[in-house]
Amino acid sequence: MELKQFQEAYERLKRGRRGEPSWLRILRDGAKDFFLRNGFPASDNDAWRHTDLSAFRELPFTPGEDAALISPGELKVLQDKAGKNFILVMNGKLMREYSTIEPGVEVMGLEEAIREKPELVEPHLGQCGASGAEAFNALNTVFFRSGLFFHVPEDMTVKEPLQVVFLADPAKEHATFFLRNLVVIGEGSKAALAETYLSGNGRGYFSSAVTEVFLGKNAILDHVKIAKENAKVFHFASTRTLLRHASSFSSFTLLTGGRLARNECHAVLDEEGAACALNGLYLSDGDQLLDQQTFVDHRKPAGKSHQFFKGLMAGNSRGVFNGKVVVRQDAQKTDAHQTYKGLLFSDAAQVDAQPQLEILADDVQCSHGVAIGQLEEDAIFYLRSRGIGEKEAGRMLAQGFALEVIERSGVQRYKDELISLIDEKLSEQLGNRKG
Amino acid sequence: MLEIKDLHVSIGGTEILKGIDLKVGAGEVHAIMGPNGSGKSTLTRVLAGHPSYIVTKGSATYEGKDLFQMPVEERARQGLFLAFQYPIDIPGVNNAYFLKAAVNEMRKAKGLEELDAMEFLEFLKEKMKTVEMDESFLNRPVNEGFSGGEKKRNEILQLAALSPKLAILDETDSGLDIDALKTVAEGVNRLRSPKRSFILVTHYQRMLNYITPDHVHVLMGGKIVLSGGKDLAFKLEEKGYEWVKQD
Repeated sequence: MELKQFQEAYERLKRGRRGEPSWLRILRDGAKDFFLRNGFPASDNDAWRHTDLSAFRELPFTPGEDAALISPGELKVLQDKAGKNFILVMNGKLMREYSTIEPGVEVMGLEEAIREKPELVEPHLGQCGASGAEAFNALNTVFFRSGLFFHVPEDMTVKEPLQVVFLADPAKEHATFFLRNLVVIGEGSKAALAETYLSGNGRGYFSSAVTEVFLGKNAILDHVKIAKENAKVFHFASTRTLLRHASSFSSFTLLTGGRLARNECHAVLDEEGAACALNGLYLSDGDQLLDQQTFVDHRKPAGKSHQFFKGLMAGNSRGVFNGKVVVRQDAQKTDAHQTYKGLLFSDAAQVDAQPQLEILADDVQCSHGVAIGQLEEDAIFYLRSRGIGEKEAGRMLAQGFALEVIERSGVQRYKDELISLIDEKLSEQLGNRKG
Repeated sequence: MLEIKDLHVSIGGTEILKGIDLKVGAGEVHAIMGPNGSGKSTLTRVLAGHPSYIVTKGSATYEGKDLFQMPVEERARQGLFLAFQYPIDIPGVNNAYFLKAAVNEMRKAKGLEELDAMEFLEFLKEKMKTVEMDESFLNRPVNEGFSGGEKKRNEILQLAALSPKLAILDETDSGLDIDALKTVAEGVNRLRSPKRSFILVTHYQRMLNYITPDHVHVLMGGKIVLSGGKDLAFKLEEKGYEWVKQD
């Protein structure tokens, strides 16, 4: 996608957006100007140093409308599997007839919320933050048509986790999907949200997904994100969370799909005593590039952030982890820890991990650690000496490596589902492994 | 059961074992003693099949088969067991899951049906009593965060669960306090049978106070320099390894 195509697409879509409120027009125009000024990130951009965009840039992605293909029967199957509080968003559109939502929880398409609930949308949309303007985030702001608006009023506990499946089912190659989700959890409320990104067919597309989360005072959100789109997909996503006083955000991200999938977790601890736990795992094989970025901004005292990420790379694949923690001068008594562990399954697989700590306060507890390794020969030997075959020993060790991050993440509710997804991907990774 | 002839073994180009001859019959308990660096652990690991060790000369026949032609897991399935001197931590792999996988591999090799989760738990609880291990160990990752004594007990638990024909214990006594040593030794004694053989590798004689060997061998400089009955162990304890050299 070149800048010229970008501008043409922008002008074309703009004509269809005459009904949009002026605040949204201003937001979109600002993002457009940013993108035109800066373009796609260059390779000297520190946050993009290890993530080569040339394959993506060469493909003719053009933002536009797209039609659904999947049959209602298949949709029903998805819904039946998911149980309560299931929401299906297909090609960006909320499919109410296939969704079941607990009473009291406000869920609607973002375009509808912009019309119906501007008092809730305007103060939040695009206001998460100071984590800085960034090309793909700007693109999303320019082009998003729809997505989900999820609002939990004050002092409410949402019993069942909200499970959203974002299904992309393009009718032609090189389609684009710009999803924008806005999650507003009121003071003292508690909820859980799981986002799963799936492909309905084998066509390649560009999937841009930005989820903005606002947590009121003492609010709690457990968040799970799973991206397992097909091997031709380019997935650029971010979850941007703004935490108010003593609120708590814990997340787990599992990336297994896509040709290139980049997931950014940004958390801004904007008031005292906020806490976030960012965890995740990616498993890559073939020619995949899976990239996890984190940015935690401690702005006020007594905040806590714990990050634990792992990558398991097979084949010719590449893993990237870039984790940044900023502790501002005002953020005394901050407790911030970050760990990344990578496991390489083949000689051709690669990983680049870069932890960054920027500490401006003096009374803090901060640490970071990176460890990269291969399957340990002694551990394989130990398992084999108990009669377990070599391949199975490798699988067990890899599974153990993956499970450690789930065990530590407090996502017990999703544990079984995550484990079965991991096993599925592991057998692909090991199936292709030589020897 | 096991016959080793003129065994020479190297690691990283350095010859460690320089011609070992050893014959272990069914039901026998052999103790191999020797100072540090004499090649004791090398002998145990090469028998179990550690890939870092290279057999440069000699043979080992296990139940009539060429041991060195068998892959590591096959040796285990045929009833050879090594209790590690330093059991390996396996993060993220639950101890019960690991043990179940191992037990079922043994059962498959014997043509028996695999145990399901419930059957396995019943089976394992029985075995855990013999090593006085708490059930909480089952839900922890293999050896991770275990104390030295807990790791050794876990090895003996595996020994009990896998019921091998030939059990090789590499310095199982090291790092154990006296109570743990007694528990481990009692576990081993309970497992003694006319069909099961043991090779106990140890630096000190103290484990042999609790497990009485049929034969004692002294390994020094990569060779067995002296063999005898159980009294040999006491003599070594009294006079030290220097005495063997002088003799």
